Amino acid sequence: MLVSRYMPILYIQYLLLFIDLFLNAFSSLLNFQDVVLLVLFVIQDVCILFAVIIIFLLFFNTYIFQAGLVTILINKFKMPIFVVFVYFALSVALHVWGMTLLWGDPKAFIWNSGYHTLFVCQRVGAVFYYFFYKRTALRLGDPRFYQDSDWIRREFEKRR
Amino acid sequence: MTDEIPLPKRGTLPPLTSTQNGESRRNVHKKRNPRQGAEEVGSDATPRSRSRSNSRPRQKTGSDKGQTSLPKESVTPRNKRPQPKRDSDYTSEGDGIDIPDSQRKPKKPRNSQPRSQSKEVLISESDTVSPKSAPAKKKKKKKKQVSSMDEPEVIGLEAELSGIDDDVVVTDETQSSMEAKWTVPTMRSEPINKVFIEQKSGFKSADKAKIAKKRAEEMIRATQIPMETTSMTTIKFALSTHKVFKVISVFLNGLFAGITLWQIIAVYMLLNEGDIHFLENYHMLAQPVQSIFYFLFAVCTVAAFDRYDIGRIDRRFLLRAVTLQSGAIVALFYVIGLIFSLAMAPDDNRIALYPDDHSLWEDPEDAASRLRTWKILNTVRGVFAVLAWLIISLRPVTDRLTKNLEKADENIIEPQYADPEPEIEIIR
Repeated sequence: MLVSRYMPILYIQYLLLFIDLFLNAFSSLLNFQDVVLLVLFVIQDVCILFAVIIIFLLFFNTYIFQAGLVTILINKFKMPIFVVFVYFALSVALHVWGMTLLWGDPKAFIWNSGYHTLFVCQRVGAVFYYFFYKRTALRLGDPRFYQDSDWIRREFEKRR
Repeated sequence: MTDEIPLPKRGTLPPLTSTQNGESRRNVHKKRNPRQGAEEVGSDATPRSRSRSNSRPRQKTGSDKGQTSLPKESVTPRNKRPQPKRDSDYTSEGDGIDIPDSQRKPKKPRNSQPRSQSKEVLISESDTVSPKSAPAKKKKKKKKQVSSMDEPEVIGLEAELSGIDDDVVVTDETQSSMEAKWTVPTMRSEPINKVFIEQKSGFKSADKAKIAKKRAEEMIRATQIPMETTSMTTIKFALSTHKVFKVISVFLNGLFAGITLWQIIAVYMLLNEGDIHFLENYHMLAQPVQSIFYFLFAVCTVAAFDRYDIGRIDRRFLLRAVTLQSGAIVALFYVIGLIFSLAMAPDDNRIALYPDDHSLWEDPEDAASRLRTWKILNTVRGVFAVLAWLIISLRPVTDRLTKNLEKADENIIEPQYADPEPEIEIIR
C-alpha cells in the first residue's frame, strides 16, 4: 500500500479514537440539555462504528484476505476484533441506560450500583479499545500483509 | 576542321567576340578543367552570357582560324589569367594575384599550346572594343582571381573553420592601461578577510574562514546524505506517528503525576478544615478533576501498554514482568489507578452537586464517612499515578511495541515460533 494512501487512513483512525476519548472524558461536563447529551452519545457510537468499518476495510485490503485465507487473518487479529465489538456493545448499553436515567433532568444524580459497574467496565474497556485499535492500525501498515510471500503460500497449501 | 573545338552550349559560355577574348578564353579553360567549381563557371558565365548574347552575336570558329597571335592590349597576360585548376595549381592559385611569371612558366607549356590553338580558333577579330573593356576585364579578372582564391576556403571545412577566428578582436593592452589610469587615483584594492555575497538588497559581508568551514561541512554532508536516504514505507510512517505519541505521553505522564500529587495535598488541606468547608470549596473542581483525570489516565495507560506491548505477551515477557525485572508493572499500576478513579465517579458527582442538591449531603455522618472513603481513594489513585511515573522515569526509553512492529520476520502468522526477544533496558 502506498504511504500516501495509508497516511489519511491512519490520521482518520487517530481522529476517531481521539473523539471517542474526548467524549468519554468530558460528556459528564457537557450535560447542558437532554438533546445535547443524546447527540454526543450518538456521535460517539457512530465514531466507534466508523472505526470498525475502517479496520475491516483494511483487512479486506490485505493480500491474505484476497487470497482467501480469511481465517488466518481473523486468528491473527482476534483480540482486537473482540475488544472492539465488546466495547461497542458496552458503549451502546451505557449510553442507552444513561439516557433513560437522565432524560428530563440531565443534572440528576442517577448513580446506582448496576450503572456504576457498567460505567467502570465501559471506561476501562475504552482504554483497552484505544490500545488495541491503535496497535492494529499500526500493524496493518506492515507491507508484508499486502504482498505475496512464501509463508502465505505455505498457509494456502496447508488449508487446501 | 578536325581541330575545331565544338561549340559550347548557350548559357555556359559567352558568345565569342573580340572584346571578351580573355574572358572567353578563361571560360574555355574553365570548361576544360573539371576541377574548377561548376558554380563558378556557371556564376561567371551566366551574367556575361546574358550581357553578351544581347550585344554581340556569336561568331563561328572557322573564321578565326587565321589569327594566331593575340593582341596584347586586349588580352590579359597569361600569368594573370586564372590557370586551369589542377592539384599542383592550388598552391599557386591561393598565393595571390601577384605571382611572378617565373613561377608560372613551367606550367604554361602544358596548357598553353593546345589553348593557343583553341584561342586562335575562338578569338574574334574585333579589337576596337578591347581598350575599353580592359579595366573591366582587369576588374573581372581580379574578381575571378579573388573568387578563385576563395575556392580552397569555400570547399575545405578546415579552411572555413580557420576563418572563424577572423572576427575575434584581441583587446589591446593599451586599453587596459587606459582603464587602470582611471581607477588608480580614486580606488585602491585593499584585500581583507571578508567575502562579499551578493543578495537582492545589496552586498552582505561574510568572514572567509567561516564560509570555508561551512562549505567543508556541506561537502561532508553531501557525501553522507546519499547513504542516509531511505524510502518511506507505510510501517515507517506508522512508527513515526507512534513516536510522536510517545513524546506526548512522556510529558503527560510526568504532568499527571505532579497534578495528582498536588491534588492530594490540596484535598488534605481542605478536609482539615471540616467537611462542609471542603464541600463548599471543592465542589466546583470535583467534576473537572474527574474528567481530566480520566483523560490523563487513559492516555498514560495506553502509553504504558505501548511501552511493554501488552498485545503480544510471551512467556519470557511474563516472567520478567512478574519478577519485576522489566518494569511492565507500570501497566498494572495505571489500570489499578484508573479503576480507583472510576470508582470515585459517583462521589465526585455528588460533591459537584452539593450546591444544587443539598439532599445528598444532609446526613453528616453519612457525609463524613463518604468523604473519608473518597479521600482514601483519591490518595490511592494519586499514589499509583506517581509510582507509575517513577518507574517510567527510571526506564523512559523502553518501547517494545516499536521493536515488535519493526521486526521483519515470519511472526505474523506463527507467533509460537517467534524467537525470544531480547529486552534491552537502558537506565538513563
